[in-house]
Amino acid sequence: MNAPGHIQSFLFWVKKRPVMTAAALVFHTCFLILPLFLNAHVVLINSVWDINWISLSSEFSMVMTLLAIFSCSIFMIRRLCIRRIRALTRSRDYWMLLIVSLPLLSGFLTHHHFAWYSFWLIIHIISGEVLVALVFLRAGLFASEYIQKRWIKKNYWWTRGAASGLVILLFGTAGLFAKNPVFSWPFNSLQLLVIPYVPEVFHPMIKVHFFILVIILAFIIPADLMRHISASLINMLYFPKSRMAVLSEPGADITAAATMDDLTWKQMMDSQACVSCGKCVEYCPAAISGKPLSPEKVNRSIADQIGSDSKFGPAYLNEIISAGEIWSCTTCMACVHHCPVFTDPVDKIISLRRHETLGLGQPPNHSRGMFRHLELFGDTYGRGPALRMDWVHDEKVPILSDDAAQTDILLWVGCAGAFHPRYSAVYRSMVKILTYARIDFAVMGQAERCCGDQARRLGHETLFSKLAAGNVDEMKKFNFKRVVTLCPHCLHSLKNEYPRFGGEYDVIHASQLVADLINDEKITPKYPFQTTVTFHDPCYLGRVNKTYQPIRTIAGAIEGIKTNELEHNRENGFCCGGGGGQMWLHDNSGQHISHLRALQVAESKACTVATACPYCLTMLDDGLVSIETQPSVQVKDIIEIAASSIG
Amino acid sequence: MKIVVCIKQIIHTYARTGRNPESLYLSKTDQIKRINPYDEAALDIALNLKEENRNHEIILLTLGPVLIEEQLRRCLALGADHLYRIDHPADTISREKANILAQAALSFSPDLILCGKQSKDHENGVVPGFMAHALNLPFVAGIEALELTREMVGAALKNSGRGVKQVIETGLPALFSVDLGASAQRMPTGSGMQKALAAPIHQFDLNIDVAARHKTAHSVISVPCPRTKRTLVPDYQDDSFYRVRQLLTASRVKKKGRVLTGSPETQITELMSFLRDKKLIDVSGRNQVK
Repeated sequence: MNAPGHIQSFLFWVKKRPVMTAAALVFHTCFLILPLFLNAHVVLINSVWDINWISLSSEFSMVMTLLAIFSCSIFMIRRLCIRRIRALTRSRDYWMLLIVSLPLLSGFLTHHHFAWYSFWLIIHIISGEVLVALVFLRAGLFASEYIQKRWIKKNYWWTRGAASGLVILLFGTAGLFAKNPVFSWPFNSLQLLVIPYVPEVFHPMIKVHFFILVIILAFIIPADLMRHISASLINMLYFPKSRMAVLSEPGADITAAATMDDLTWKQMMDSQACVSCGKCVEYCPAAISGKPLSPEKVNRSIADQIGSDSKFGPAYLNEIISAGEIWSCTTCMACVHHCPVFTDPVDKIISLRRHETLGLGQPPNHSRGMFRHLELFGDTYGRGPALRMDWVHDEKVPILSDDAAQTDILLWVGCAGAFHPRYSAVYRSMVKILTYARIDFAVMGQAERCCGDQARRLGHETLFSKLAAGNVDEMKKFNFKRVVTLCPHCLHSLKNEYPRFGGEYDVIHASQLVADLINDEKITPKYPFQTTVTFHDPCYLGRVNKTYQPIRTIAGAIEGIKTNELEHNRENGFCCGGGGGQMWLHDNSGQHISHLRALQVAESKACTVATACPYCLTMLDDGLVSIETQPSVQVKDIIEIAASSIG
Repeated sequence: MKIVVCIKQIIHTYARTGRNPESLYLSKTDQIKRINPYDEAALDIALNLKEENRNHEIILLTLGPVLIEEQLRRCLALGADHLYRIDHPADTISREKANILAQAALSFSPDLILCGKQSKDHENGVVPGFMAHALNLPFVAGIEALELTREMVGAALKNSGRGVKQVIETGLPALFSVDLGASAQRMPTGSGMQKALAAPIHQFDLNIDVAARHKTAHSVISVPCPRTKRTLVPDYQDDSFYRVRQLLTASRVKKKGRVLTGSPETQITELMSFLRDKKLIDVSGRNQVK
């Protein structure tokens, strides 16, 4: 878990939304601590089960209760008053707030013997039980969904009820160990309203009624509420080591989701963790620029469909989530990063894309040319492997071959480096740096094919597999220690997605290598560069692969550069709009994401913006040209800056 | 209705980066194998017809050995019904190829035969014409779209040049050769591809002698020019003057010459002798101004 990253993210939200963040923090802390350590509860549990632990002083618990109630009221006011949130809120969210605030309120009133002591006590007991039942029942339902998906593979109507029943049974067995069921179980005070106190009848009836009541609750209450508690806890435990590393969890099937049945258990459960807080929508670059995408809606639409099988079969996902939504995504992972309950909307969007591309054969028209180029020529531009070494010009670049198969560093060129004139210049600068530092490097030359990243993001899994398997086979012939690349998309594919095909490599980004060389003093930036530089963190280098410092190190080492940070930087970086296949999608709705980012860059009053990705370079260049700032802001790759300073 | 679509597997040369004149300056990666894109356009027209009426049957016909099975099966996955291969060498003259294809197509008794207008490797464009002649069918070359207006009548849209489009109607059976259109690229579905990978490639046995008399013969093959050593894209940051100079210095012409050194007198003597030796100045004195 990335502690500095989480702290930085937390501080970002504290600055941006102080009231809500404070309220959420206070509420959750108090709500978790109070039931466990409240004096009244500790005494009760002790008298029933003979277990003892520490408890809070009564003044402290009163303060905590009041704080928790106060934060609940903040939540309620927020949901009612802020229009944007009211639009996302449904009746279940109000029910949730009510059920959550009731134990706090009723507990407070009971303790202070406000009025109608037994009434508030009963409300306290029932709302507390509902809350606990919901959490455990929901966990039980997740377990039943897992069992169903994995082993039963059919939707029997009784599995959900059976799972709930099992949970209640387990939960209820605790009652069997109670010391003195009559007076210690608060629930029994309710029983006394309906059953006369005849011990032979009363004692067994307590246990029976307990079971029955909770079972009834399980079926009456939609059990939609409070899913996020169990779901988010399971999400936290279930995560792979780096949660944005791969698009689907390792070892699982890669889904192409046509209907609800095609989603994995993890995807279904994870959509149920969503609380509609709206952080993902607030941060999604597609949503901000007016495109139809809302990651919250993707999660909620899927969560709504769970358990709603009709006799016509499971729901088709492309009817509840439209094409405009799934094709607007740039896979920047901002929603994944900012989600407080660890959901992953991008995974589901890509599953839907896979169905459109592979299942139906209907990807967006403009992307089909790119797919054809990848199939026939092995690169996204359709130029062909014969021309793959043209970018070299006058530089001396060693090429790996059967005779010369050994090198220290394999420089992965990628399609942009090989064929895009602007980015080939950046690669030539990199070669200059590597030559100057006397590093043993080589390129694969004409044996290299596209890494397949953009094909994968657009859903074409078979094409990606073919390219990846081909690349891995070629790389097996050579012997190298590390792979260095300038394109973060290639970096992500090679590092995180190629191991599945047998290719385990130590991949780093060129900026990391150059920063290490500068720190080790193998190269020294001689020539100054008088300018103010701001940094655009590429999504796939920054948020996904957690690498922010190298580009700043490099800029900091060059004399004359004054640096300037954008408001949306590092983990909160704003996407350039080029990822997720958007370069080939020609989306016409809303504004251009690159335009918005260019406006942010221009506001920072920097003269140069340094980035480390060919897509970002192109998109920022286009964006800055289109907003026509005076004086114009230059876009440079950090490697170009480093090379020009080294001379 | 039976539609026969003739497809050709071609070796598409998209670059010449080799150094050996024997191999026509081709290196291994300069060529890719693919299906002729004009034939893919013909298949597209057949698939459009099939989308309107599912009872149409599309039969793919190819001549020669299998060069790129993946692409052949991809054509099958797009929606064709059967794939037939004629087991006969494909490197014969156009007329013989056309005769073979015509005989093969005839055996299906098709209502419609579609071919690409030309192939991307030889670009002769004569096979459809020869086929139509061999089968004595109505023939329209270079169509963009085809519609069946009435039973057994086809209306073909053809680009007549300069923005003028014509609709030419003909009775079926007929043969059409198809030009590249502006339609969106088709993609196979996952299930289509799976079925195509498992489908058989039917072999066609020809038992009729179709050898045509060769009326022409090759005499001289001239070798293309090899690729220039440097094909620079000039550095975007430079001034236009330097960019043009970079382009000019990329040519193979080596500059001959030397720089004159020494005192001005020796330089002038050397310069004068250079001009006289190259006969750039007249020393006979005949053309002096009087």
